[in-house]
Amino acid sequence: MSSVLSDLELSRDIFDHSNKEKNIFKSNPGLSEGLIIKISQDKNEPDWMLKKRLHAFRLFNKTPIPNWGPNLHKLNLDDISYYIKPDIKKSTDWESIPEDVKKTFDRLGIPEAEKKYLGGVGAQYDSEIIYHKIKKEWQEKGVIFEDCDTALKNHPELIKKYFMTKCIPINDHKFIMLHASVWSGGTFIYVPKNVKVTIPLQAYFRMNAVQGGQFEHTLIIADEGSEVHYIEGCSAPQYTSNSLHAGCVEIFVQKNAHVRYSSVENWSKNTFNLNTKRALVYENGLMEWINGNMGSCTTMLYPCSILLEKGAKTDMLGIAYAGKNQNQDTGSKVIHTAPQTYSTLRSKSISKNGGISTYRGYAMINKGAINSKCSVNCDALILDKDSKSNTYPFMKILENKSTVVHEATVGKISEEKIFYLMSRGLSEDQALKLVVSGFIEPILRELPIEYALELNKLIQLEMENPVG
Amino acid sequence: MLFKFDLEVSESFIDLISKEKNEYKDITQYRRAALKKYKSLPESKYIYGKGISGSVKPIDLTLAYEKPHKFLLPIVNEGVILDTFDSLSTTFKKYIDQFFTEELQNQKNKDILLHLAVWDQSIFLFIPKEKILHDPIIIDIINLNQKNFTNLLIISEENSEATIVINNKNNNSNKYSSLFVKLFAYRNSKINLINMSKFENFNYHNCDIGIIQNKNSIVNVINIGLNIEVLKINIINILREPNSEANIFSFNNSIKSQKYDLDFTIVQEAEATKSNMSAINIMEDNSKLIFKGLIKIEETAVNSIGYQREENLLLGENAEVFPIPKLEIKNNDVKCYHSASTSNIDLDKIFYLMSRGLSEDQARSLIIQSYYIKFIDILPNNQIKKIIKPIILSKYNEINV
Repeated sequence: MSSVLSDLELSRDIFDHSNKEKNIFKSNPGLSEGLIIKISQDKNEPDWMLKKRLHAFRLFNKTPIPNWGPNLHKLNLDDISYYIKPDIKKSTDWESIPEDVKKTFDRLGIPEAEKKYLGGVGAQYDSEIIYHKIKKEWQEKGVIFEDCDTALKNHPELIKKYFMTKCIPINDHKFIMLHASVWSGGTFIYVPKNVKVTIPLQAYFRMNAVQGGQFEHTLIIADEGSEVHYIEGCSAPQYTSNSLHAGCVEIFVQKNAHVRYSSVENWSKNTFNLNTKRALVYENGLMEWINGNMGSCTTMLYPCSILLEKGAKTDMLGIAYAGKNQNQDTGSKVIHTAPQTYSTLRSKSISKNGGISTYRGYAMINKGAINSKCSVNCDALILDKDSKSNTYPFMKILENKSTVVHEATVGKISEEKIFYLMSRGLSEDQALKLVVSGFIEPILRELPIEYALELNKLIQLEMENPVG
Repeated sequence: MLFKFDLEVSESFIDLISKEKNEYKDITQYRRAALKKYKSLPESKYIYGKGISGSVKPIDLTLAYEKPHKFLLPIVNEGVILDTFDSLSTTFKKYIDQFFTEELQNQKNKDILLHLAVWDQSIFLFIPKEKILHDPIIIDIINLNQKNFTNLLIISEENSEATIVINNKNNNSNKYSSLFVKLFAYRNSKINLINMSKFENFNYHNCDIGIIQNKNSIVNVINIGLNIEVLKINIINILREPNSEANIFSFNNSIKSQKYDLDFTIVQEAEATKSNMSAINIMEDNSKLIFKGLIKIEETAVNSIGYQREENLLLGENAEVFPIPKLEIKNNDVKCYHSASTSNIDLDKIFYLMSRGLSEDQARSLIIQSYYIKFIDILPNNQIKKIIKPIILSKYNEINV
């Protein structure tokens, strides 16, 4: 690799590599009521959950595919296998994980990272969590870090209260209905009052099966005065047929709590990533979203914060990279409903080799949200003449004692910058990469160093290797 | 649609208009074709106030022919033609034919198609080659009937320059007026198009402006809405040839329960084109505003610049604003920027002025006035400034003092 920042060995092969499928169960393509009952029985779920799944499925059948945003006609919902149970027993010890799967996660650097700087790790392989462990120190303080299926058994009351109720109801949109019908795996985090989890918790979601679908559910409850940083990584191997990821992230940030959610989504180029992420933020709570989107053929992802009580704050940072045949339709949503609520939304996108990157944002100040402030900033970099960039910010301001500011710029890297760097001895390619690194730097700064390096490297890799 | 006819528009009604107006056969055919296309297109799902609570009730109109008020067109310089469509000589009829043929072929907007079927007034303005007009051409469109549909076709030939002021006005309540303006700006022409909506009381006004620009042409559209109940303005400006420049400046001060819907689009199709869209909106009382701005830069428009800026001053307790400033960029050799800000008057500014001895009301009023002045400042040339300044400052005094 000719990069000036080649201090991290990384290649796309790590992500594109696939293992031979060894499943206990892989559903036939397509969705039916029978399959939903089978998933629920398989997981030994309570009745209310099955009812919820079936209700969502009925809504799903009635609802048309959204007609706005990227074209989804290549996504054939009847070709997807909605439930793939790998032949792996869930464990808290990497050694008991089958060699090939362990190797996959080794390559992705998960066990290594766990040792070094994480408070807990979860790993999901297709529909099931295969590894989950939290450091004792946090367990003793009452922090719950489990996969969602286990949490449903261990803490049914908590799950019943928070799971797809207030934050993201099952009738939210077509793909949430689908998610609610077939969800499997994911993470559940509960941080008790005034507990500050000082090192990050992480989950890694890996899709391995051909034409598979992954529908993990993440539910985070940060109780009053608590603090947590959760990191999510996602990838899938490269196949010729399409696969679907329709995850759901629900976060509750209670009074004075602080949640930071970072994710680097690097799905393979045949994945449709139609993800939904939303947080409810209560009095003086702070919700921080950091999102990197680079893989997948089509992404529709708009993390949302609803600022429900006085003093609630949210910061959102997003970066999207759209290469050949990729359509990254991302953005942020914020709804201010209470006085003195603040939001800062920053988004950066890079398009290259004919890729389309779109910022689609929504900022709303409801009546009564006096003295609230919202600032939206998006920058787009188009690296060649075949690529496209769109900006669609929607704003709705119903309160006159508030301030909303939106700003966006679109352009290419200025020739002066490249010339300057080349005059200092860099090749054109190196100069280009350095400028791109600088462009995404505000986002990298917010990620743990290992992730920042990975994201930076990935973007450089994408720039080098247009064939995806 | 902002209005509703009590009966369905039929071919016999179209024929009646043609007969009353004693039109030549081709125009009747164009009307019929427009009605046919209007009926064949699916119902447009336009709901005013999409996203804003409280939609507008369409105004009820009777489907009956009303003889239009006779135009008092100003006297113009030699060589300049300003007349109605049916009074034109054969030399200029080709422009009318071209206008209708192109619209019927390309137009997909149902509102405009219906307008082209039932229009009752028409104005043709032709500025010949090399003609430079120093004085503005002022066209008053006064509606004395219950409804009024006017077409205005402007042809500015090579190297011509002109300032055109359209005054849309009437004095009675419950009127609907619709204006369709089409402007062809040929090479090197410079046109200032000032569109003013100065209505009294309860009136609905719909205005569609379509502009096609050729090489090196500059078109400045200044849009001012000062007093109207419901205003819908749709501007589409297409920069078809290189080095052309499109500027849209819009100023609105809405009061009471006025509802404004502004939709501006600039499409940059050729290289080295420039666009600038600037809007200042002052919203008082219960007024509502949707502002949609779109700058579209196509693959072929390399080395282009796009600029969009919107400032909203949200003064009214129940005023609402819905800004949607969009960009669609399809090549990388561009510089494109947009911004939108919405806020009330900054309390620090009021405090500063009060510390200098002004009362709170005086301070507030001075700051509002600064928005009026700011609009005058951003206007592109002195001729436009000279026309706009007295109009909007007198409006300021009427509303705010």
